[in-house]
Amino acid sequence: MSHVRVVASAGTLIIIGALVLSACGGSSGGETSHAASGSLSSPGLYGKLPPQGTATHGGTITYGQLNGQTPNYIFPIVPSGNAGVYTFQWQQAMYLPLYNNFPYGGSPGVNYNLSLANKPVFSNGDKTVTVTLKQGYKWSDGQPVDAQDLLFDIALIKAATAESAANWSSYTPGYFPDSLASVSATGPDTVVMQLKRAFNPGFFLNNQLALNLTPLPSRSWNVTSAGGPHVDWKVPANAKKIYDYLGKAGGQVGTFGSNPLWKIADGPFVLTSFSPVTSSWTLKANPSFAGSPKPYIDSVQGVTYTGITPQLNAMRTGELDVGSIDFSQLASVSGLKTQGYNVFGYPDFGWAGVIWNFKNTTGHFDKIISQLYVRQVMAMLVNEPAIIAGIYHGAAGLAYGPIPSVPKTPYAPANAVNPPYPYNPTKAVSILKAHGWHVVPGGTTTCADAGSGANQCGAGIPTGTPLSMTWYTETAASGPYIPLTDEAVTSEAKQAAGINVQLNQKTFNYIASNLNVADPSVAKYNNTWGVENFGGYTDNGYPTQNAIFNTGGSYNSGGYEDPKMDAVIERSVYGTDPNAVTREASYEAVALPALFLPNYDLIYAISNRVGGDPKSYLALTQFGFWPQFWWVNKK
Amino acid sequence: MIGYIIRRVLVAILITIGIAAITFELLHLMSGSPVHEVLGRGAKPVQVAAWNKQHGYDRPLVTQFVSYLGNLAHLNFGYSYKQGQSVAALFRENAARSIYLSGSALLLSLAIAIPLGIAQAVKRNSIGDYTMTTLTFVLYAMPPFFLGIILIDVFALHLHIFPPLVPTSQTSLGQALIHPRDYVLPIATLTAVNIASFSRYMRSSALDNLAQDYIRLARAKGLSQRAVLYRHLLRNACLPMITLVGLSIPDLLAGNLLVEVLFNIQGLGLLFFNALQAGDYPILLAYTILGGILTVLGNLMADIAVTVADPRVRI
Repeated sequence: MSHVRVVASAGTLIIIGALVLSACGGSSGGETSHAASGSLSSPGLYGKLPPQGTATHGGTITYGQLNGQTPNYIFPIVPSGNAGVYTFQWQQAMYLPLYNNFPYGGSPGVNYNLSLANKPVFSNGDKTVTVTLKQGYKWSDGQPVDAQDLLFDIALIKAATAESAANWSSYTPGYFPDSLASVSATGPDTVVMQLKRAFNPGFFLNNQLALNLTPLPSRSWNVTSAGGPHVDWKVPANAKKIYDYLGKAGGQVGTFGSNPLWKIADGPFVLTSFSPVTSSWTLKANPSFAGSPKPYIDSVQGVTYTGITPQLNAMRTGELDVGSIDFSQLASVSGLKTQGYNVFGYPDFGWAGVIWNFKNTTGHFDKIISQLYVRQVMAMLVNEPAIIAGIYHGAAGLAYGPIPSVPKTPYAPANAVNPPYPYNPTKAVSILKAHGWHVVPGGTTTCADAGSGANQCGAGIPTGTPLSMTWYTETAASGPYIPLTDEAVTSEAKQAAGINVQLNQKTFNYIASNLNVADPSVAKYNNTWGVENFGGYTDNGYPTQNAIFNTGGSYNSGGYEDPKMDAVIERSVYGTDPNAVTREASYEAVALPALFLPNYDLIYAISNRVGGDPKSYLALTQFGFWPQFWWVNKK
Repeated sequence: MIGYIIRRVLVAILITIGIAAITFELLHLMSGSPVHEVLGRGAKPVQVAAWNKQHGYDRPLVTQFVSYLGNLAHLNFGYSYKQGQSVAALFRENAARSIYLSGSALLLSLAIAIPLGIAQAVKRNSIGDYTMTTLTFVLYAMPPFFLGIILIDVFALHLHIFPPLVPTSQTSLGQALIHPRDYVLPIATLTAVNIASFSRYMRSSALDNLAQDYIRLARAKGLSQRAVLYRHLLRNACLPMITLVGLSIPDLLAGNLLVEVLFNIQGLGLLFFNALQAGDYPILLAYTILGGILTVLGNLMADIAVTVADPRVRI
């Protein structure tokens, strides 16, 4: 289960609905060592990470956020409608996750230093999971953080999801909390979960336990109204009332800064102000935070800008310490560097690409696209280095499958680096010819030899059938990069191999709502589209494409069906093989259930006024927000 | 007059309902529900269904519309599910700065464009007229966003006279008034663009009036040029401006999105654009309806103002 992502926009409003989840595998390392320069031949870090600098204590760091990318919900059980990644990263500065679901550094992975619990222990054939919370953590009101707080969180999640599936954005039927047969505290800091069926431990840790489980103050938040009495949350009816109260208060942005509920935090920071007008906020160091390191700075301020231009201008005048940069602004980067900013970019962990429609019978497209060689031909016509240089100005990484080679992860298969179908128009044309197509570069390629033989077009493709497809891409309103990339790919396909693509632009909502063969209510569109591009998906920490590429998966919007794919995904989710997800990704890069495109960077500029572990800044490219590692440099 | 106003108000109500119906239909034609804009493509089917139910998007369209009109009658514009606030609260929070920005620019541009237009008409075909015509054409053709960038580059980033953006901490009109320097560049941007348009209308109208008999008569009576211009020409030449200003009233609500974005002003234009991106239907509906109301009101006010300014006009 992954989340859709939307490419960073050149406009003012960037909506990133993606939620990055973490993976096991510990800390990331080595990112800075291969800090290249956006070189296409050695993809890696774009630009230069800020140096560590010399620490001081005190001061304030300003953190830029764009309109539409601001937190809008403070209660950690976040409803689907509020599940922006910027809400989650902000919450985790105040309320520590059971297991961190944003990376520290550039590589996904649970970092137990940032988590409230130690590494979970799987036993009983992976059906029993024992979680031990670290000792010594306290809430701001002096209460200890313990096993009851985790059980309180789970009780409220159960109440929330029982009320509505939309009440908890992390909810997937069959997974947490449905996956629990029982859960109980066997000690003050120990929680034992009995599962209904065994999951692959990597999947359960990263994609269920780390999926926004956040111990909550069970002795303070067990109320059903402001100033009301404390009630027994173990009674389901009470849990529902508590959830109803906290859930409602959690969305009232006007009271975020003043509601005493939200002052009780166990994280490194606590909220002191929040503007309902701009969604700007101030987090102050939490003196009761027991983790390490303690914040160096007194406070971090989230400053909202109306768009990328004023944010860049704020940096040009030295008013903003940490801010994002759009691809279109890379030309201004040299000026920013002379003003003392370090600019760097790194791809978000996930994949960008297009989905084929295997159910579209118009023009026998279903028969054409179900031929693996056709998908291979399309992959060979994608000139990733040219797209990266021309459209992303070098700030993107080569990607040939759902797990890219960058960010560096323990999951990347060998073919993430050595693509099975590298760019080669000549070979693409020869493959088509070898399968009975009459190739007319720049014209219309048609099937000349119908039949299902090895050197024929394929079953169900009559002679004379043109090799064409209807391709839906996003409008440029939310950023020109997706339509520009699609235009580059389709133009190459036409010129090199005579593949005719009807390129249509539609809004994200139109594509997401209507072009989805997995949704029976929009079946009338199934024969209208051959290819769709809505941006791709951000991978979870454990990057299985479960539900995206398996038969009947709820996000399998192109209707891809392949028994072998089903089997490899099944092993990723329910098997015991720790390398299952790597094998799955390797097969996906070969089988091409989607056409994978370059994985674009998230780019940040950091003022030399501030310092800290470079990894904590690199984490920003993965939506990790760890200001406890930041400081104001000694002058 | 009162009967006329009542009739116009009644028509305005009908127009508003019509606007609401069309906007409602258009939004639902784009997509029956904004659920995927809000939840993203990754939303699970059960969550999509639950969200639609929570927000009433599972009901028939007519039922949704009637329910919306009922709320509207109680001045309830709905609740923004993306921003966690009522639409009315969001408008209250953002309107003052937008009106300050647009209103200041409107007044300033009138104060400059009217005498400028008259001066150009009086000195028509002079070097000064040609110069100003060229300048106003350049400004007229220039997108406000581009002009704003130039002003920022020159006056903020190079000369350091004015700040390049309005600080995010300024969230009230009071703060804006206390720090007028912060608004100089955005107001100047809008003013320059308005002047370009208004002064052309004013010049044209003044030219027409200067050729009229009453001006010739005034001059024949021996009135000074100053008296001719101020006592006779000004009021008559301004009549088209009244209509122009009336039509620009809706701009107070929406007209300055690009300038708001460029200068970091959290205003109504930006609120609308955000809502458009996020599929925040309640804000979009309220915005369009208010835009319609302001357009109708602007027209009505212009009509009334014209009758006051010109006794020959009767309504």
